[in-house]
Amino acid sequence: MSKHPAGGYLAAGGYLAAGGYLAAGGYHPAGQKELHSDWAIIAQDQLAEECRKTESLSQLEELRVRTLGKKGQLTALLRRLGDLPSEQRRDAGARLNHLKQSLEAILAARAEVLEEAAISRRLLAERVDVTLPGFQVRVGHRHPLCRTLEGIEDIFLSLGFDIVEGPEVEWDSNNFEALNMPAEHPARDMWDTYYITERMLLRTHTSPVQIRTMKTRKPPIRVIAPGITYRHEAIDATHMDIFYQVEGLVVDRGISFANLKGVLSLFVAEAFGPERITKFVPSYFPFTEPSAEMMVSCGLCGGEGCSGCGHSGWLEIMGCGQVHPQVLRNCGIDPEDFTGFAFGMGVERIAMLRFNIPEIRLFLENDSQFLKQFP
Amino acid sequence: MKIPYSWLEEINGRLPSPGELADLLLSAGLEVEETLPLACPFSKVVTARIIAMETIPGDLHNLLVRVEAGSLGNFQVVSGAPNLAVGLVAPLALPGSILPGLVIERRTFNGLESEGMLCSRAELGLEKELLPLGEEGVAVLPEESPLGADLGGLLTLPDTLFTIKVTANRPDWNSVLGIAREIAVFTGEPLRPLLEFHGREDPTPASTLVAVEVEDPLLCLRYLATVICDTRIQPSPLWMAGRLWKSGMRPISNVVDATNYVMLEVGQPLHAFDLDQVTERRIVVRRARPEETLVTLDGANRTLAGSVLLIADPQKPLGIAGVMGGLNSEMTSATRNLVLESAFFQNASIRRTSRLLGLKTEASERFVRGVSHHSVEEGSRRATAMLSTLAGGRVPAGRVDCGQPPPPKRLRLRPERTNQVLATDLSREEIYTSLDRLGFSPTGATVFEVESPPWRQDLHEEVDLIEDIARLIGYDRVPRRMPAGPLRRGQEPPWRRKWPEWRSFLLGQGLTEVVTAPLVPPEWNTFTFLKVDQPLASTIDARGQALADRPSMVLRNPISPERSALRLSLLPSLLQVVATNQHRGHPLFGCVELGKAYRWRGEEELPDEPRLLALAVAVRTEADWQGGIREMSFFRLKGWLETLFNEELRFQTIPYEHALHPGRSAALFHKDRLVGVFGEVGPALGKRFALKEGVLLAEIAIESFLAQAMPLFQSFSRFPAADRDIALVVSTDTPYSQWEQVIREAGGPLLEEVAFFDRYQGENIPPGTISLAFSLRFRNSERTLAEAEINRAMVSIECSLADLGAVLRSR
Ligand SMILES: [Zn+2]
Repeated sequence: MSKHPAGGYLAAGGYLAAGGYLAAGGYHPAGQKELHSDWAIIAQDQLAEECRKTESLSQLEELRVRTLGKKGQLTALLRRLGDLPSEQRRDAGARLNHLKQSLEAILAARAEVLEEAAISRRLLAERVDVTLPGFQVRVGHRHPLCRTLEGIEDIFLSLGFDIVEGPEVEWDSNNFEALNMPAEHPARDMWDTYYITERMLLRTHTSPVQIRTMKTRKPPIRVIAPGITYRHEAIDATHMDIFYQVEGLVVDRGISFANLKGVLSLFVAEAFGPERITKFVPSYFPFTEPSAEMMVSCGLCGGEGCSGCGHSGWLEIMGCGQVHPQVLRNCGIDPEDFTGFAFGMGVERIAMLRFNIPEIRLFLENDSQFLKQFP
Repeated sequence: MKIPYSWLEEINGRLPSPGELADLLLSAGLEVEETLPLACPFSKVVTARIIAMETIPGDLHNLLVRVEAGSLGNFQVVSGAPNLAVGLVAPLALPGSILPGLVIERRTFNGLESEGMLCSRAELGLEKELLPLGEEGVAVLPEESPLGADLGGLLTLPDTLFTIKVTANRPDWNSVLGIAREIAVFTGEPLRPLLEFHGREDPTPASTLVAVEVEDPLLCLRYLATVICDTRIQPSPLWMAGRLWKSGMRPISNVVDATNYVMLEVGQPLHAFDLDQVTERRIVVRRARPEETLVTLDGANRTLAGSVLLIADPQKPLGIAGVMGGLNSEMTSATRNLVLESAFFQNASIRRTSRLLGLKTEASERFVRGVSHHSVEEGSRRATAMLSTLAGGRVPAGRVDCGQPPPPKRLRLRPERTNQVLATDLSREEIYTSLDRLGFSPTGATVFEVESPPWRQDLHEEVDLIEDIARLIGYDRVPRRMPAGPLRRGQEPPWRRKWPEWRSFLLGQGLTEVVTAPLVPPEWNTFTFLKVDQPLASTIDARGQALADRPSMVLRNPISPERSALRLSLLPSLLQVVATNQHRGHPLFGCVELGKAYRWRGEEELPDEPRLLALAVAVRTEADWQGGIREMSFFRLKGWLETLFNEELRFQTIPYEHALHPGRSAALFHKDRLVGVFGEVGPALGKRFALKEGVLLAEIAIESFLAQAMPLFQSFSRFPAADRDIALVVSTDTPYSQWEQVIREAGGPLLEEVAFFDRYQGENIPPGTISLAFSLRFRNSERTLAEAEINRAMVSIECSLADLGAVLRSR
């Protein structure tokens, strides 16, 4: 295809050159021949044909300039309108303008087609292999223990429990004595203890925070006390000398054993799912009475019994009980007026059950292969 | 404790199946940790006595043995065992008997018929403790064993063994009788009488044979002594050996076994010793004298302290009361006369002694938990009779008894209080029935008066009775109810609200949250990190030297040196995490922990436990596959810290020796308080943890950054800003911060932002100098900036910079 398609239909092969109604066969100079409307149609067809042959917007622009530009052929014709007698000029002008509009429309339509084609070509060129890997974003992981602990805390926060804290290095008096275990009390052997001095120790449970709370706050009390606790204990797959606990304490008028069962059952439903049921069996802690061990139906076997739950269908989750009257008295609270309940759970144990983690040692080891499993 | 099902069955009579019994015990508060079926490894094995033996012609190895097996008749067997002797009682496997890996049949040896097999212990598949005699050949059974009796039956096999966890408040449950009693409370079936023994009585009063003197009646509340004369030490009968073995005790001899058996049965530790070794046959219960020594039964020579209670005679100590006897009065095969001690020692005293000597025994553990006057009397009575029966001794009449049991404890129980505490609606009748079944003998019209059974030492106040009623009716009877109270969300400490924000930022940068142990090797506390969260003056002295650390806290009783000190900083713990992961070949990019450090404040005050945010991150440059570079460096970490704590933070060179890289570390100040430290690990520390790549560390006390200010709107200018760049060449000796400050001060109110964008050293820059380039943004809050305004500000900046020796490079 030539660069100047057909040399311009208006100029050479066009209806104007051949039988052009203005130039040759028209009224000028002989001027008698009728201006034939077919010419306009031929001109349009020819332009359309030229348009189709253009392959780029620049070629189309050239065509537009040759036809409708300042020096274009149709423009030249329009200029020559003035040469016509006035009675013919109006009619010829109207025809030519009509023709011009038609030609513009043809050019615009082609321009649109070509533009779309150009965009398509660019997009094709810009195409990427979507299977190439994205740039890796390095995102860290939350520790499963923190995740579990915060989950537990959030449940109790939503139930109106305040979070309170106590020191990890405690006085013997708060860790044992005030909890109804005077010196050499046999129950002290339930907690093997790390000592700093004769009177100072690493708390063996979060229960001393109960004492601190009852001595500083007046009932109604509704608190949990999360934190690290320590036991002088040999380390193995299920025992650690350092572990996290969440203590809970409610003291108010009319608090009953039924309230303990109600709150802790609700906690289990929130933490493990509503399908898990709870069972309370008698137990012993010097600072609660009646004391209980709360059990939750095994999630692996649904209570049928499996190796995960020692074939009992139940998992021990926490110790709990009604606050012992002597503990209330030790904190200056009259047990005839106020009653309460308390509970304490091991966070590692709950995390192990939740995430099916087989070894307690994994938590403090912080192996990246372990941590990255918990987003 | 371990209890065979068959023993309970003997006392309780009909029992539910082992599985159901375990459930019953659980609901009573006795957790069954294990239910172990004990199989009988053999069948059709009976006791038989050898009555004759003859050699077999042509067979040098075997003998033809004739045995009698009671009502089963006599048998002849061919046996090659080396210990065969007429009169010996041995297990005989009859034809059809199945032993582990062996079926016994009638066989013919050299034309002689053998009607079974005399078995060794190993062939029977039994533990050595159960049949200790005759290891070299056929098992030797006690002479008194009934003949023709089924050996499995004598050992009560098969059986089921419970391992029961007994809570510290119920020492009475540490016995078969105690558990049986509890089962009876729950089943309502009465107990059967215990197997009674009747010894040979001797009219001689025991008090003429032994005298007891208790010097310290507070530590020894009761001392009962009985005497058994002319005893014969020999193996225990099979049924008793079987029970002891199942209960986890090694059968030794009739005398030792009898005391152990009664201890298991009624819970009372008993001590039998050689009466003839007691000088003047006078027993003195007294405290040890300073530096007094005693060789105990385990062979250890122990130096005793004044708090230790002793069993002694007028000349020497004979044993440590409630813990372990002395070697000097041990019973031997020569012992003829023995004294049996059944005592009630104060539990606190025994606990103290046991901890002091580092010696825990079955007896000491039981005394620590507590015995009762009831168990003292029952133990003495039953063990004395049993000893006399089994060891063939005579029992002199009566006993020597020091100490008086107190009257039974009386308690009150209000039915309405019971229903309040349990949120139940138990009727008076039901409460009465419960108290009665529990053995409390209730009386009274409105309030129940009850009497503590003699074996219960744990009842002190009303709530103890309420718990027992709850146990008996079952905790399932208590409903589930939410407590009344205002509806609101709980409150949390400020750090807990803030921490998740900081953590998500750091996790987004690629750090992983870790939790490390606060117990560390003491060496870690010697690394000189800045002790953050201190007023400056308390950590650095006038010469810029770090003050000596306060002593770090060390445990008195660590389980290992690696976990013996409370940490002063989290940084060594984090380095250990980084190092461990590096050495395992899957390095962490970085880790962060929010944890505590512990600082000693003396014996009279609990230590300080500041909460610190610590992080460790590898110095690393990484490229993506298109060539983009991501770099972790000192300044990236600094950027994180500035982003996290975008308050008035001041970074300052650390002026003294430090575990971090001296040229790449800084102290962090907030309002003249040293709040943090950060920088690259120094070479010594890197070597200590064998780090394979550079590590950046930071530790910040978060307390100062917890104030939660509510942001308030401030108006801002909508007029356009204008940017100008400025580059200056300055001496490398002046810190960057000085130049930025000069620009800010000279720029006046129109200078809105100073952005540092280039630092260049090298070509075209004289040595010892450096080029710094800034982009300055000007804006007028009231109108569009005029060119002249900007120029004036720029001139002012340039002049100030030039005054301080900066050379302007370009505009
Ligand atoms: Zn299960």
